[in-house]
Amino acid sequence: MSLCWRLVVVFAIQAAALLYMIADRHWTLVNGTPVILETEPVDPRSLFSGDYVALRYKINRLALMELAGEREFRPHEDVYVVLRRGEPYWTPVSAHTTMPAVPADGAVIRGEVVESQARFWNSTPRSQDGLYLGVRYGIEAYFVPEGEGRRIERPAPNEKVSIRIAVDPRGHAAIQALLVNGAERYVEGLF
Amino acid sequence: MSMRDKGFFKRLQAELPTWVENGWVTPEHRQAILDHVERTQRSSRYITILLSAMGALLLGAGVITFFSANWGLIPKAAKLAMLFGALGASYAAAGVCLARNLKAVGEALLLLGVILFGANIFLIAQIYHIDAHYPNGLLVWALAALVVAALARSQFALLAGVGLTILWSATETFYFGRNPHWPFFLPWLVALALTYRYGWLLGLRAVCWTLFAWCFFVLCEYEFLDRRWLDSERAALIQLYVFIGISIYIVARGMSWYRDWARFAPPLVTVGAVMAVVSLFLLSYPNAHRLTNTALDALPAGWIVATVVVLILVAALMVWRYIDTPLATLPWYRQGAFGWLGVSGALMIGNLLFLGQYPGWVAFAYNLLSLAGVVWLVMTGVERRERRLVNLGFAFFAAILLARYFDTFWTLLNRSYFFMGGGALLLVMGFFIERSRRRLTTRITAGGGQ
Repeated sequence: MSLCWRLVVVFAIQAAALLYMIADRHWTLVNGTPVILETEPVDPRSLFSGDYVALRYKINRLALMELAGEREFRPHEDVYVVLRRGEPYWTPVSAHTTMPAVPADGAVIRGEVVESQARFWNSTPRSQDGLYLGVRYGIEAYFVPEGEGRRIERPAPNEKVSIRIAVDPRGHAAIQALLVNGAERYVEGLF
Repeated sequence: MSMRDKGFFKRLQAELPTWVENGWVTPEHRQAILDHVERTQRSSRYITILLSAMGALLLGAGVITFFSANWGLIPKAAKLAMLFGALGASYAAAGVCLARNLKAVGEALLLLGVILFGANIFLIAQIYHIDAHYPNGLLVWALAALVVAALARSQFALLAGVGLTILWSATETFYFGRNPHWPFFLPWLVALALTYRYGWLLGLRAVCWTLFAWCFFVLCEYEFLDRRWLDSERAALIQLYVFIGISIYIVARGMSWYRDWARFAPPLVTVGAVMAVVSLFLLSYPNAHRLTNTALDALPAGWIVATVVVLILVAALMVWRYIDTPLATLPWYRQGAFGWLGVSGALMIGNLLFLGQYPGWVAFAYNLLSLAGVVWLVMTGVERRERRLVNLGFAFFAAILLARYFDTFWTLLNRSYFFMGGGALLLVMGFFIERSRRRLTTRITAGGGQ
């Protein structure tokens, strides 16, 4: 194969990898179940450009004693959380280490355990009352135009920020829209 | 190498046979002249490559900064067009330069392509709000660099790929507790295969040192196999590293027998020796063998099994290496190496079985073995005319001496006496060690060594 063709193959492989990232995300946005989550915005920081809002959701910290499902989770492992439709916010029902069946009125979102408080530092098990699970779902950052981050971080007293995500059948989640008082402020699309 | 340099080299090659025939130059001098000119030209080429690589890095950084400053104003489709366009343009420009034999600039543009691909991953993640497990981005970036290395035959891209692989492994190990991070070896083996396929010595060095770094990442992480380290497990692993380093060293020496492999031997010799030396140094501390959790009765059996397997491996390699050599013909220090290996092997096993009962004595034994190792390194370096082994031996000796001074006198002496004594020790040690080292390396250089 000539050098020219080899470089074409290099570009094709790399472009395919980048396009896969976009296609996978778009597939989740188009085919996922829309779920509205209550947020607790934390703080915007500058990354490559503009701002990003570091979002915190109620489902980031699961009180396992209030949920059905399993109790033993290890840090950095996958966790599958069953969400039940609510008005307007969806709430967690159970947590599992493997993908459960998706209920008719709900969705299953996949996350990564970032913190398991099932044990003390010296490996002694905690009592059941203190079981909390820190989970990350990959929807904790939302990039907004320069200067917008602070407005979202500190909404006016009469404003309530929430996020509509799409959860696909694999449990992958993607942010569909940022809502202020239930109205769409930013909506995600392919272009 | 510029066209002018190339022309000079070719003309010299064409002229020299006539000069030899006329008796103006001896046949030995002919080769020496050619080697000298080639070496000089190669070093000037490296400067061109270095400047081009720096140019690529600056250009890449500039492009990213420009996009960053204006990111919010650009529509999504235009952003994507720019990202893909810049990527394609860098490879197209690299192709043009390489086709016109502008190798250094072409290589630099390939490196720019690799940098842009990485930037594109993170910029697309930003455009589409993808907040995934971020080390995966580093893995994809590393693999893409290795694809460039394989298809465009670019050693720069390989170096970038190897660097990204170890960065990926470090983030998985230290931020996500995946220790040991075995998937590291998939891209690492690909990189190793590429260095052999294209004969890249610089690439091989990078591949070897990343293995070294990975081995010590395992020790530094707080957790091991999804739990906290057990007492003495780290010492058990470091003991394995001593013999793994020795295995690499023996294999590298054996490689020099084979024509196709000989050129790859020196970097492996260095890495193997450094790995064994650093591991021995760590084992020379009594604290490495002390138990803090007295409830631990025995280590998991896997450690004994792994130790026995590594010892058998070293024994098999020694048989392979010396099967045709009568031991009586070897110099004393090389005969002594057999005894050293036997005693170290017994100490390793004993240390695992008696688990933390005699930390002081075990450390003392490792100190004696280290000093014997210093003698062996220096003697081998002188015999083989390899300065790097002599230097390593002296550095090892100085490190052990200083470590024992700190161990012994830190609590015994008044602080002012301690620092005065330490300063004096450093001065005296520095003088004598440097004098001996210079004397030996000068002898090696005079004898035509490396």
